[in-house]
Amino acid sequence: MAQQNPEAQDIQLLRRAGHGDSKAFHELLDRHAQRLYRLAMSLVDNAADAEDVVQETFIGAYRGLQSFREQSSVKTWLTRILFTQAALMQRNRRRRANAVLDESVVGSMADPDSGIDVQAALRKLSPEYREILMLREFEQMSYAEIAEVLNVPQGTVESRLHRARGELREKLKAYLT
Amino acid sequence: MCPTTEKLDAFHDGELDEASRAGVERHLAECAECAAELARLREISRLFDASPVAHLSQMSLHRLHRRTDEAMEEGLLRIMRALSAVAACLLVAGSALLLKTRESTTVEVARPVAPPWADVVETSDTSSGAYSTPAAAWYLADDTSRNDDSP
Repeated sequence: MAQQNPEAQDIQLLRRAGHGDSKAFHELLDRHAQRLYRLAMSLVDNAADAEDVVQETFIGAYRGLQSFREQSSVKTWLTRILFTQAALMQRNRRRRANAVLDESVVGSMADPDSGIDVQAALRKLSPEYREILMLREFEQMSYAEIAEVLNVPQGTVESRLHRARGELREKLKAYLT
Repeated sequence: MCPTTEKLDAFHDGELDEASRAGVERHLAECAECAAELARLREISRLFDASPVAHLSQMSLHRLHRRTDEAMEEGLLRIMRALSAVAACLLVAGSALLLKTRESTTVEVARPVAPPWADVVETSDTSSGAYSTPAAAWYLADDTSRNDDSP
């Protein structure tokens, strides 16, 4: 497995997990948990919710092991599940009219050198702009991968990403040269 | 001519093919406005790179593993429960079928089996000479002849 690229390793682990190898599934969890948690932190308002979303993502992935057709990478597949789980959680929490941001989390995300809090600025964007920026800037996903995660055409990714960057730039204009 | 802003984004994101990329590079060398736009895109990406990332603590990670295990066990239990239910249904259906089979067998055994000549006795009419089976006719004819021979 050492010679394989990360995506091929993921597929191998998922196949083993599909054959009942729980150790392989836990290895998969170790490989993706931090990345998914970071994404979840941008999609929901606090650390506890983000952890719940990641947990539901892995449980959902485990239950859906047999439905994975290997037509996308495991990374993309898990990200898509995460987005679904985050949307479900947000819908359930929408009743809280005045959701308060976890200030401790926002504070900890600020860039100590520049004084710019990118995460806080991201939260001021619409969910669709926030999502696409997270996938591109943090996850370094290609346009094709983003299109797959968001289930939109690649042309939509290009235009939406451009508009999202424009919005973010507006929020951060005081800090940008 | 300046490339579209989306094309500049795609250039920044490494999404252009070799030919398009070379074309944009040539343009950037001559167009200060597009070069400034690209610099702004790079600045935003730099801010993301510099942004501290949320980190899942070891305790949270451990909790995640534990909850996943619980979900796996729950899934197995669900499967086992479903299999048990199927097995129970099969057992009940099998028992019912067996019982029904035995009942029908008992009824057949209990009914007295009529001897081959029963029909003959009931339907024979010696006067008319009509017999229901050749064997019965032969038997009765033989019996009659025996009576004729008697002194």
